[in-house]
Amino acid sequence: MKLLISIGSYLLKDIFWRWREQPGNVLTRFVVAYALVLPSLGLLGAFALMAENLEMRLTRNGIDMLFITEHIGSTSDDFVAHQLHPALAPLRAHGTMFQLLQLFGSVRTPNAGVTRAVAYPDASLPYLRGMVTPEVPVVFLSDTLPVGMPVRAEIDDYFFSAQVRRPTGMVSKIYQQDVVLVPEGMLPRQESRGFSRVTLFKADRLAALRGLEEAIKLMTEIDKQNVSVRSSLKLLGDLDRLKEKQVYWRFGLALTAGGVLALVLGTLAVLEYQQRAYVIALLRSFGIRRWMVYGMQLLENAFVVNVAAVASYLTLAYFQQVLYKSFGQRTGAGLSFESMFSEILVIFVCVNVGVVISTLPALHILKKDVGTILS
Amino acid sequence: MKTLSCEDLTFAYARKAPPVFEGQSFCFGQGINLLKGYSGCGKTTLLKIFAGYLKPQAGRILTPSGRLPTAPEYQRREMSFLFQQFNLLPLATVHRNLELAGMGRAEIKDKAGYWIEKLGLAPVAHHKAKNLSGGQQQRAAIARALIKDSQVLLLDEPTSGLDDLNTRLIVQALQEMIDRECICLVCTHDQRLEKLPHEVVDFNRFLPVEGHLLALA
Repeated sequence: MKLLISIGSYLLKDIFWRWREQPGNVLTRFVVAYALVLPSLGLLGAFALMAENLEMRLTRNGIDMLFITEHIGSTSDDFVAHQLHPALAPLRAHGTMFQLLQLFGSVRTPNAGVTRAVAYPDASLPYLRGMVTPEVPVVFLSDTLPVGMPVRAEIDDYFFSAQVRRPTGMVSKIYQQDVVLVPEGMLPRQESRGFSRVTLFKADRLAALRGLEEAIKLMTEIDKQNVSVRSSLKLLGDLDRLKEKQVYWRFGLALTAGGVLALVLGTLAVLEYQQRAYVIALLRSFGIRRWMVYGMQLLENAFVVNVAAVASYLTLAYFQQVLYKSFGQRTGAGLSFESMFSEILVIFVCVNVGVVISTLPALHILKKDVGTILS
Repeated sequence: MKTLSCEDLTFAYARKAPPVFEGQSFCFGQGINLLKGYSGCGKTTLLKIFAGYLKPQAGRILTPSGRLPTAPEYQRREMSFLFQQFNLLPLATVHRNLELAGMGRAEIKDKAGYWIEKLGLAPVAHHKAKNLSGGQQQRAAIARALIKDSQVLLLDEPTSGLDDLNTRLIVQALQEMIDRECICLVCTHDQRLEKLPHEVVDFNRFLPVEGHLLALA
């Protein structure tokens, strides 16, 4: 053990001495690794960020949901009938569905400014559980205001009070901003102007969603109805394509980085080994095994390259924060270490494989007899 | 009595190069064995083969312990080698060079002190090898070879280019080794070493006649 420490300390000292004597050598290795890892991480980070954003939007929108909006004018037959559009009736067999009436006109509140007014029919009450109760039928859905806080609201000089609730379930997927939920019939003047009837549909099976969306679009087109259907399926497709690209890029970039590193470091290692052949041979003449010398070379290269890779990551993280701050984003926004972990791991693995490959030519030199080097 | 020998030794530096040895056998006993001969006759090559630094194409090397000369254990503990160019670790101090060659054995520290003192290296013991003069480097290299107290001592031109005072110090050190029952092979042209009790192996007799004459010319 003492011997190993003794030899190890000499070899370490030798490494630092060489770094001091020929800083260009170590700097080249550092810069090459840094210059390769930084753009690779940057590109992969951009992909990860795009995927993260898409995933966030998907989660917010509800991946397995359809939002069907019909515009009902005050003169329409539907306005009187208040019935579900016949084209939507078959949806009941494939999932959960309820409706809300989005009224024209804005509600004003002193705390949260102008918001939207939405009326719910009695049939929708079971789906609003947790937000609306018989005791509190009028609620102000907000993500920010304290729950239970009373809010004074006004619409067209009609004043009423609402209690703050958090949007939950399917409702939280459709409204990203604050909204006032009132029972149908509470605001007759606004309702009489017409409304947008929003059908919220949650499919039992995600696989059936695309077919249902197509069917509804087709039927409403045939009926020449003014209906818009919104879903996250397009986003989902985008996400799949992005993830596919991400995999190709991840491996392509990581392999390129590893390959170039192996070439550059390998060439440097051979040159350096030829310069150091004497010291290495001398150490071997004392009975030091080849693997120790090789191990030290490997350790040195791995250290330089990994420090460079860490420096690249820190640079990227720093510039990302600077960029986010300049756009007024909060600190910690953007890519975190956790969200980029798989990218970082792949790059680090490939770069370290490159390090191992780069030291292979040195093995050939280590095979030479000590006696042919030392005269 | 322990011996260091080789049987039917064949060695060439390259596949197409003329062989340095071809089916030759040598046997060396305890004490100092002076290997004499013209440059290029294979003295240093034989030492390197006995040290395990060169691998012969054919033949058998028999070390006193029976280990192969390439075995790290043999190179670490049983054999010491002095290179013609001293070959000290340039970044290590004299003391550290000695310790490294001693391979971390506990008794080495005391021995390092002894040989440093004996060979007049005390003032430079903590100087880096690359900063020493030629004579100091040679004495340090000798100390490094002697410190291991090994059974086999292989010295390649230990006094070449040294003044009389430095040579005397080295002769004194070698004199001490004779009493320790080690097998000592010394390649030398230096007449001053003949004062030591020794066996002489004339390597010139292994040279081809033409080569021998050419060398004489």
